Amino acid sequence: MIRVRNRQSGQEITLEGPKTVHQLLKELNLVEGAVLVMRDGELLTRDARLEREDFVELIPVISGG
Amino acid sequence: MKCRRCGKRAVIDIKAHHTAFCRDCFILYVHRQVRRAIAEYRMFSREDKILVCVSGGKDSLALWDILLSLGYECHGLHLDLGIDGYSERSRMKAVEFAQKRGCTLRVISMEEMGIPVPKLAKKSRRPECSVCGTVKRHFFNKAALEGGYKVVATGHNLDDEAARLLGNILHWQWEYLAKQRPVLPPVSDLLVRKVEPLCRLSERESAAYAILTGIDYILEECPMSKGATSIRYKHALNILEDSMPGAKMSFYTGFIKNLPRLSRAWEDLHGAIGEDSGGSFSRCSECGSASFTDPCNFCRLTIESGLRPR
Ligand code: SF4
Ligand SMILES: [Zn+2]
Ligand SMILES: [Zn+2]
Repeated sequence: MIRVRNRQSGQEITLEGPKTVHQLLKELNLVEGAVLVMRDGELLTRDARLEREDFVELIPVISGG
Repeated sequence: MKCRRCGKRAVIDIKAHHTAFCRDCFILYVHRQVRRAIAEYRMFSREDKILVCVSGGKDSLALWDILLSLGYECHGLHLDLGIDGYSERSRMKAVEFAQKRGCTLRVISMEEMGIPVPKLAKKSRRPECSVCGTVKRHFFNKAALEGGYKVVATGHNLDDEAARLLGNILHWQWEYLAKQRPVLPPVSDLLVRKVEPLCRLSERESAAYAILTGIDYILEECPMSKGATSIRYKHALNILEDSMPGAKMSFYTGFIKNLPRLSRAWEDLHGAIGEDSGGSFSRCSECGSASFTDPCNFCRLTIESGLRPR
């Protein structure tokens, strides 16, 4: 399972792996312009492959006000 | 994905430009985009002293970092809005950045002046964000005039501006449309020039820059921003952008290109705007700021709320 944590809310979920970052965002219904995805302190491009046992962080980038 | 420039592993892909970059090449790309915005819209020159408004968020800290890297003389200004908890944490981020880089930061505290934004909003029965906007405009300009800065720079990015444009068009806010531009020229000696050097960078690019350069910014959202319409506009534009890469950029820059046609609307409203003309501006008899009205918006707000700055 891939562990996915939202850095802003602290919420954590797990998803089936492996899959690409692009697939992960689709599955979570997130648009690419709204988040960055990180693994081991590195930003990932949309084609990066997430393996089972990976821990990734979602960093929301859209702010309001 | 590989970096389009040097072939190393890419850390960010930018669909709008059909490209991807490694860390170092991305930083170069960001600097180039900002340099281009500064030149294209004639924001300022090497000689100008710049006041950067830093909230502690990713955009304003990234902006400060970029302008310093590009060799501009710029100092920071942080307004502590007096929003419980959130403001202290934001202030810390701004102060820590300044300490780390050894650069000058002025902090103005609304709490210390007896006019924290939530209290002003409550007493004047106005929405927090509108009160906040009035307070920011007032103190940014005041601090710039006091410090002898030629230019005030804010961290508004492409998503901010495209969302604002969409909102203004949805409601056909002619007056706001006429005023929306990456450079607001100075008005006599009352209003300093205001610029938005990040207007060619998306919010995602700005966040990536902050992360890749090790800037510690506040991730937490202002509690007043809950349900903000701007977030919905940004979301709508990002959905469009997903299937039409570059849509945000052409929406915004196309508008700016066509602005001259709108300036007539501006002139009809306020008289000509420019270096030499004060238009229909005058001084506020309460605080001396530039204003279309007397008292100015800020003083009207504080008078109505019964809270006058100390
Ligand atoms: S969300 Fe509203 S109150 Fe909070 S900082 Fe932004 S404009 Fe000010
Ligand atoms: Zn590279
Ligand atoms: Zn006034």
